[in-house]
Amino acid sequence: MKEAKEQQTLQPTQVPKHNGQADEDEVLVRVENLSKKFCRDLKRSLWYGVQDISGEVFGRSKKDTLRKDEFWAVKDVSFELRRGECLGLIGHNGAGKSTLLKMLNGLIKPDQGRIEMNGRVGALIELGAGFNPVLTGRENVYINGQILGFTKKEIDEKYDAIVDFAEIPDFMEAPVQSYSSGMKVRLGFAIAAQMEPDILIIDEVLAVGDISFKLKCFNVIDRLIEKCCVIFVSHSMQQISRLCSHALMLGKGNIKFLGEDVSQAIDIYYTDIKDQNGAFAFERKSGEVRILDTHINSSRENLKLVKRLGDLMFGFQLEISAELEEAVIAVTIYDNEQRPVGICFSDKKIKEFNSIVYNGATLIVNGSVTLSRINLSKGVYSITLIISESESSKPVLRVNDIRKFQVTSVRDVWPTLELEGDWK
Amino acid sequence: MQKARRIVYTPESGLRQPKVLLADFVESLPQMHALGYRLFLRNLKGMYRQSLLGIFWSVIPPLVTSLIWIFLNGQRVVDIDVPGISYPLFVIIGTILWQTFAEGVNGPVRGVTMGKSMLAKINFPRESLILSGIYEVIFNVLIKIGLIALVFVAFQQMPAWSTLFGLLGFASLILLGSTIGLLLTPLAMLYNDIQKGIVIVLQFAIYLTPVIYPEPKSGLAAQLMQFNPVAPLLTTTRNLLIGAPTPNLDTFFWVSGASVVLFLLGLLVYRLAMPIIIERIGS
Repeated sequence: MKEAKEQQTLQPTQVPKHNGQADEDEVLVRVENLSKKFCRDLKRSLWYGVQDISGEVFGRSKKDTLRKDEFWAVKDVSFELRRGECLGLIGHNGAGKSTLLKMLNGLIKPDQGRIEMNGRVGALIELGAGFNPVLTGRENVYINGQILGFTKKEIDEKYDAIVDFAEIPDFMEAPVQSYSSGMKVRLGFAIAAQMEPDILIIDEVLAVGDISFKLKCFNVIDRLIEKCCVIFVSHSMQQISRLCSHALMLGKGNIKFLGEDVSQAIDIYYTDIKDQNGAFAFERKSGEVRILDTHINSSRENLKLVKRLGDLMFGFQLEISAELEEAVIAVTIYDNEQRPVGICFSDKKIKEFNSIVYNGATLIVNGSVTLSRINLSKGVYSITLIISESESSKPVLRVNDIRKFQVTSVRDVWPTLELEGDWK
Repeated sequence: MQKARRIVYTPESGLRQPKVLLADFVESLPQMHALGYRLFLRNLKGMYRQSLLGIFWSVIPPLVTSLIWIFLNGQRVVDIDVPGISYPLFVIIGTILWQTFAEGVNGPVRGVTMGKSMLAKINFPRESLILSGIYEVIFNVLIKIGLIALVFVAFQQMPAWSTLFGLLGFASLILLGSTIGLLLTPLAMLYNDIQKGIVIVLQFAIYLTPVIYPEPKSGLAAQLMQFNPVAPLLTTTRNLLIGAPTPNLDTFFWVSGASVVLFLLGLLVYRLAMPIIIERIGS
């Protein structure tokens, strides 16, 4: 687990919650019934653009009906954010997260509703905007800094801090095109880290960079969160649970969940994952093995819920060529980010399972494997089934994602395993 | 960093709140200029750091055009007679002035195109992209003025007192050009037909403007030229530079004044249109 180092607390950092008696001024972001429509067809979208521009210029207000090919990318979203709060914005691709962020950042106009931003807005949406690859690192610091709203004097003052943070002092006079992509991101973040916003908008920028860089980014964000409110978009549920005090889950532009219970939002996010079971990744010879049935704890739901420290029984029914009666089976469990969590080999050969001979040449095998007291942490996992002639030989068959299951737990933690311990 | 303040976004047109619109504009002026200048430097350095001839590129196009016409006229292929001044001097000044106008037209669209990738990602005063384009035009004009000085020396043309005012004429040509460019920018961001169209129109508009020939006194061409706003600016500026009489002076001022008004109007339209455009150009 590459982020494991960063997790020092079991529970996500609890930002001090608002005590309810402070005045209205504390609300930094207020979004009311916000909606935005987009057009699927580019040609038509451009033409609507011409119409909208003329409407805007002649002072007509926007109509809130959908024209042909239009759809609501964001619909009726309302929330408030106070200083010290961090809102995790989650949802699958195309849920409207980026559209919402762009409206909050003032890049595009809402079609309905209202946004009120009280304070300086800082956006970590793109690092190193405006970099010209031919120019030196130093020159680009000034360009990017001024795009972010710093004055030249401010950049003069912060320049040393930026170079320190980026840790690339020897390259500041070299053209940026000679930088590695990691160095570019470092420099970009170093500049952005100098912002002192009241409202911070972060969109997936932490997905890049090496571990030490990510650690640094989190330190900066932790420092910033104390003084401002944050809207954070990420597909990494670990990052969301680590940073956020509130969660907003979007689905097709609508709010699916909004509240302080971040872990519940994450559960909804995982439950929403579409059914894509049983992708054949490898088959040595077609027809050698056929999967007739699989289940988890005798259930054939798309996403079986399993309690942490409960038993997980994976059952299967195969039709397999009689030549493979000596073969062995293994299952691998992957977490939601496709990292392998563990593997379990069968201690039986195919012929030792409960099997019947069918048509002389094939066997029908009914088997199962029970993993008792599974100590996986909360999240969605998938099972990959592998059949090979022996433990060390190449597989005969490999089926990814043959079944998915979701582990429910009271805690929401970063590590994949929530170990049982005997504390004395 | 920008000052802390309350920002409200609603679907209604920015014109419904003219005070807020104006206050926002005035407030962002310093950053607009500073960032525009920085982006101009970026584009300029980026361009010339990968070039051997560097800034000479800004005087090569008018020189090439001039040489063609000097040659054609010298060979009597065309017969253009300009009274009181040598033809080469006349045509070099003319093409430089035309180039100034044409670069002015392209400046705003060029500036915005070079910063297009940032538009959908970052909130900054978008007028700075327009300014970066115009600053580049001004920079190129300064080089061209240097070239005119050299040409004056080469042709032993004594500068008149009015030559100083002629330099102001450059400002008017840039202003007229960038006003046209600015008014076209919103549409040019949506449809690339506009940029292609600009290139073609400019290519043949040079022949409908007294650049390589003096102003016609009568006929269809003379009538057409009355509707050409570049013509009075260009002839007046040229005449001021060489110290010739300037009969079109009042039209010169009218056109310049109208340009100022339209330029401000163009900035307003640009500001209002930008969110709608950004929505459609993506990143």
